[in-house]
Amino acid sequence: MKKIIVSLFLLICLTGCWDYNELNDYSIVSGVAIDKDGDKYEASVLISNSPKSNSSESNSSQSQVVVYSGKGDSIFSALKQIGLISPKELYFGSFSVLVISEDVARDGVDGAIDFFVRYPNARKNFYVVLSKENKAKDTLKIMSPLSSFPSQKITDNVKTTTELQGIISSINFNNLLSILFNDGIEATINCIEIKGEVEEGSSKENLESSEPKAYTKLGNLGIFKEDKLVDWANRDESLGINIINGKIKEMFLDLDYNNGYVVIDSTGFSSDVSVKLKDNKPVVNINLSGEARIIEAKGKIDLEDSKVIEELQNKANKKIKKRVNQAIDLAIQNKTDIFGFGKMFYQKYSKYFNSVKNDWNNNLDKIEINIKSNLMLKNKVSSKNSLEEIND
Amino acid sequence: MKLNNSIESIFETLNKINGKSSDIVTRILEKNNRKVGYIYLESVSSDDKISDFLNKALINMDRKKPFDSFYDLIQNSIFNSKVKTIETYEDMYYHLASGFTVIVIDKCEKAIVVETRQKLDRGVTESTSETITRGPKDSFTENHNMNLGLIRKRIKDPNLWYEEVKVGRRSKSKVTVAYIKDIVPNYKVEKILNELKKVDIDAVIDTGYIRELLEKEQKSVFPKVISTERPDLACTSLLDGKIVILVENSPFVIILPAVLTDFFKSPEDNYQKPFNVSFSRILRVICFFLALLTPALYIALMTFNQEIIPDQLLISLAIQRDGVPFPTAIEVLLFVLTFEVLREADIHSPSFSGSAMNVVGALILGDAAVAAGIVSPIVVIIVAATSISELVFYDVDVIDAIREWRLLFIIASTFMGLVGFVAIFIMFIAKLSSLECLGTPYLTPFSPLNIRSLKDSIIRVTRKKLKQRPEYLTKNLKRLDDNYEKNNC
Repeated sequence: MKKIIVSLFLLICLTGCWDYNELNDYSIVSGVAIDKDGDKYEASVLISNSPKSNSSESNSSQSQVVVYSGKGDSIFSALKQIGLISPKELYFGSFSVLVISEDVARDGVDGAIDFFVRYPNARKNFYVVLSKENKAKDTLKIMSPLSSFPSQKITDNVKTTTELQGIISSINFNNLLSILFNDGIEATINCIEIKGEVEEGSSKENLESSEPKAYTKLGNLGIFKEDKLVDWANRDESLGINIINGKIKEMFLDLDYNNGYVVIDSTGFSSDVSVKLKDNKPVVNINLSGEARIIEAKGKIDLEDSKVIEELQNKANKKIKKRVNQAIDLAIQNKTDIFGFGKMFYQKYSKYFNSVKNDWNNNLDKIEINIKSNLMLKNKVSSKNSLEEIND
Repeated sequence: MKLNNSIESIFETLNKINGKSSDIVTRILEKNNRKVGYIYLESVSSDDKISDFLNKALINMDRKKPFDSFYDLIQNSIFNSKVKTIETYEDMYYHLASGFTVIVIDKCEKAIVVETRQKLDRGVTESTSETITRGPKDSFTENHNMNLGLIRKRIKDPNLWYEEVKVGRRSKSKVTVAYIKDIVPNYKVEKILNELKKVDIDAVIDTGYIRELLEKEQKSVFPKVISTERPDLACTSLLDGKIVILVENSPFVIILPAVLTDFFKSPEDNYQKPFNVSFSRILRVICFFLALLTPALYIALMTFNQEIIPDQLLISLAIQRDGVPFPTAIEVLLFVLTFEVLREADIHSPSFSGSAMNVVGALILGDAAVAAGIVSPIVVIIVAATSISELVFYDVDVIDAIREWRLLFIIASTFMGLVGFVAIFIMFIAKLSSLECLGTPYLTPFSPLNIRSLKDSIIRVTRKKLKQRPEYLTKNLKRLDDNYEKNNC
């Protein structure tokens, strides 16, 4: 017992040199947006623990978030400006999304993200998205009735759509850093767009109307070369990029057939990319495989006919190949290796890659790329014909 | 002091010793030209018994019976199964106080004592401190013989031995050590008996006295013996190879040695399905740690290591805490203290004021404190969860021990966050492992690890598989020994 008492007294000696801090001395930052204003950075933070008003019943729909902005030559000085406005210390321990505006991205994200690499109190697994056309700050402001605060809405959106949609591929800060610091691979980051008026979206009314006046929507991929944004992929190209990068678990394809259409949904889609050197020339083999089922059919299609199924399967594979080719064309056109082929060569043939490293991005078109798509159309469960076919 | 040989001088001496206490009754009869006197304390003796058996016997005593001396004649004429001879005043007074009647005969330097005890106990009632849903409901009482009987009638084994020691200079209380001879190693019994004989104390009022004296070697807030008022628990412990100590006038007996896992067991565990028992015991282990650690962990996370809390929860906690004027640690301590006060008040309050206490506790302290913004709702939840968790334990000593360690955890977390928390946790484990009772380490069977004894620790296997007694208690492991009959007869 004596020992315990003595050691407790020793603990008292240690107070003050440890980072004691009450939670209500912090402003909890859950989202950061970085814009450019002339030569200066404009950093905005979304603070999500602003207290509710005291009447406990009416506050359920009330805005609980505040967005503060500050300007400065560096991100840190901009954040220090916010420190002057915010009554409490900013807490970066749990922020979940970083929105970078298109201007900043075009000039290079290096300056924008360096602070978060070094800052010890920031967690490194937040999502990174780009804001297209709008100011990054505005995306933090848009309120959504389904989430308690905007940054949560963005992260929820990113998380779920990544798996279900195909065109979205989430990237968190750690992944982004490992891509930026590596040779032979370039980054792609999703963009987020605002539909509607920012003014209306950031007000309380947006939460109360059943059809929100403004909302944010995840969009296509932005293509980077080194740390600079060079181009935007369109929907098809985004899909192609994600197919090659193996980021798709579930995707749908609509196939025209006989004046009607068939929509197939594939699950368990996987891509296997391997690299080879043939006569000292780079060869990339892309093997795509997966299973799909029909989830919608319209028009005169005899789904009970195995030939039709086979035909549909060929169409689907052709379409996938086309998307992949589109994506590769985009990469060649922008001279940026967003698929990480270079990294694979480096891992397998490091000597060869080191010799061509400096000119790698410019010579993407000289790589021989073989694409094999092997999507199996299983038609066991929903083998019913469409109504039109039956009525005939 | 030896007895005098005249009745008058005996009476005189007795009155001198006892200061003419009002409950002393003396009477002198004359029989066959010899004076016979008897003395009893009317407060502890039954007047009916004395008049019915003793008086009658003395008056109707038949001279013609062939006894050598007058003394033997009297001794053999009394209708009583408990007749003893005493020779000193100390013995005499002990028997008087125990409810015996002393018969003194003129010109004899010894006296006869006859049991005429009045029933001064409440009879066997249902256990109030350890209530169960299934199983025997009787409990020990203040009557020592009845307590011994409650055990004896359950184990009809000649190997069940009782050894009695009188403890207490003034109280002269009987302390009985009960054990099963062929299961319990001899040295353990001897150690306890020696311990008891060495005890020098003026009075033993309850088992608590003996427990304190036995536990004095190592100071610990955790109990090292089980305290129970259930005879069935005492009997299962005896059969496992533990020793039971019963103290006169106390409805609680102590069972030793105890290990930590014993306190996760409930008396009714033996009467229920093994799977359900294991489930409740695991639940109790979880509750043990919940009760011990939750407030400290909360303080550590809230004031030092916020990054561990998931984002959504952190924001929710931050909003709840907003506007609370106290630091987190003070807030928690305040509320923990409030609960302790409530519990203390509740234990000792008569039942009619219990409902008032509930209203004050639940409504005013919980609800109003939150509404007034003095504490955050999460702290109320934490303290409530902690307090409910600690109440799953039967043994009040465990609850108190948890309470004290919890305070240490809170203090450490307040000053050093998770680092302090872990430091105290290590100290906690070290302290528990250093404890032992009768040579049994406190964390047995986990440390030292004893795989066979694990079968009835946190999980309990079926009775079919429990063919062995715990290894840490006895060398006689087989419950069903083939030689049992042979050895006894």
